[in-house]
Amino acid sequence: MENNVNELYKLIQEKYLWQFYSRSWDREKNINGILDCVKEILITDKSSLADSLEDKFYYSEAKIVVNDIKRHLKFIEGLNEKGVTETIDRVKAKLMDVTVTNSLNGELNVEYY
Amino acid sequence: MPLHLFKSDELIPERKKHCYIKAPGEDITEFLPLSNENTIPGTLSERGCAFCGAKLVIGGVLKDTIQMIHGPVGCAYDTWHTKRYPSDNDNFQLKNAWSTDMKEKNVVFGGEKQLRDSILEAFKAMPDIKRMFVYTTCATALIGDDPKAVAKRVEKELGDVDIFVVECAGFAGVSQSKGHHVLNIGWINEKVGTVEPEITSEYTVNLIGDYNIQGDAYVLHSYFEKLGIQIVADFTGNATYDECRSMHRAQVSVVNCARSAGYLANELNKRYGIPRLDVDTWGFSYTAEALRKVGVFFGLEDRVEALIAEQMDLYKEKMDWYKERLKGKKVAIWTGGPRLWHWTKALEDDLGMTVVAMSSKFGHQEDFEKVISRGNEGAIYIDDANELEFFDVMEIVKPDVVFTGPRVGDLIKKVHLPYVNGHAYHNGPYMGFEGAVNMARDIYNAVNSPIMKLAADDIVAQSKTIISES
Repeated sequence: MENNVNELYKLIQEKYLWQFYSRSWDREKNINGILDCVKEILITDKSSLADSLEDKFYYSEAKIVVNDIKRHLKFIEGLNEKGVTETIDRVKAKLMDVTVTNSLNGELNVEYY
Repeated sequence: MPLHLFKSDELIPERKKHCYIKAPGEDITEFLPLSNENTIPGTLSERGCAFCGAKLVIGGVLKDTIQMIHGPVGCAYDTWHTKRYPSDNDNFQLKNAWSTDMKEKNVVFGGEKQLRDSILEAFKAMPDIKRMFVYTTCATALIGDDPKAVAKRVEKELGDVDIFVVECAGFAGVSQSKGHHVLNIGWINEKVGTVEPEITSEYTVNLIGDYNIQGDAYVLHSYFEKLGIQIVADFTGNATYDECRSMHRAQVSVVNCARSAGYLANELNKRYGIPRLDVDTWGFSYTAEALRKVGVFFGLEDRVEALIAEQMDLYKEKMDWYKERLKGKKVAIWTGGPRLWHWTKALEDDLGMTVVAMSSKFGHQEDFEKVISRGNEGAIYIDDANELEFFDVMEIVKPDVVFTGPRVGDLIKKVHLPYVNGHAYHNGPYMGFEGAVNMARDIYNAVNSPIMKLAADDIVAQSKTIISES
């Protein structure tokens, strides 16, 4: 499990810009919105997000992540629902830790953009 | 390895907090270079000024807008000729420069009359143009001119013109980044939402942070046209003033340069509920990914895959040809900020090159979080690098080619290394599939040109030897 979490975390850190939006609240929203959608697609092969513009944003980012996971991280094929859930939740926690909670970025909590 | 003090910085040890070498196993919670801070006295910065960030980078790109620079004429010169952002209306914005040409008497007695006269003169000389940006500069900010009041009076007097005032003197911030910010926030506060666009497609986007450098926008626009997606506004590549006033009507903001225009994208999200979709539009693989994201957003995946297949047919073989010849070459990227993280993996994944050093003039810590996460272990990451540090870095990493601007490029030439213009490009466009091939070609030409080796030959010494031997 630890290796799986690290591999997925590394893939996300190297590739996606949504984890590094300007402020902590943007990052938190993106990490939760996109990775929850990733989890659902991996488990059910579809998304229950509604049709709002914000939902479409989460879904389009999530689809890219899912495709990359399926292409690069073969361990995903061997995981059941519980395994997917645990992996994604642990990656979410790690991303929150690195990009929000313990980030050294001094602008993250500046009120105005 | 932690933050790093270069040999040349021994007398300014504060620079250590701005220089980092990535070590295995480290993450960005351990070390992150300081950035967007005042330049340290004693360091010869390569930064531009805040006014330059507003005028040269963003505002000056608009194709139907007079760019009135309220200050000494030199401020206009330095922001006029160095960027190559064409337009499809015969390059109006590149062919003209406007200045109030402030002189000593205007500084002593005030420059508002001079500004009013200049605005009226410009509109009279160009009767088809009805839009204007007015910029303050250091001189006019210091004497307390009120350009907004002048602009309001002229708008009332003429009746059919619209003027946007950017109050961002050169000294307003630590670098050009402040100019980006002031222009972004001023624009959303005063102009977005004041024009209703004609909507011609059920799919609409804003492109944000593309400045049509050597035709980048033309490449991107051709993709969106093929996909049947309407670009409400491109902020500001090949755009009109009024298009950018109508950005509130797009369904999503597709953001390339998050540094210079992320503020606007954030505010469009907060105020109008338009989500911000950040993409990389440089790089072969990145472009495909960017288009796929947009495709999923609108449910147009089939059209996107057809477009990508078409572009692969046109350009993949060429890209592979360059990759075969460039793999393993070492490259340094010394540009403004975002191109570091846009380019580092693109050059590695698409061309097999190794990025060994990166330097940002005006990036914030957000940019360093991105680039360190994407960049190599062992690579050097510097904020606001100075000239002597560049020499140190070249000695340490020995790059085969450097991406940078003409000023630092001349420094590179002194040590007989090739550089490619990373700001305005050598022979662009560089965006999209076509642009990635152009970029690869320029790198290939730079790396393989014999000129730097010939320049290093000491002809005088050789001549003396020949003469003494004969």
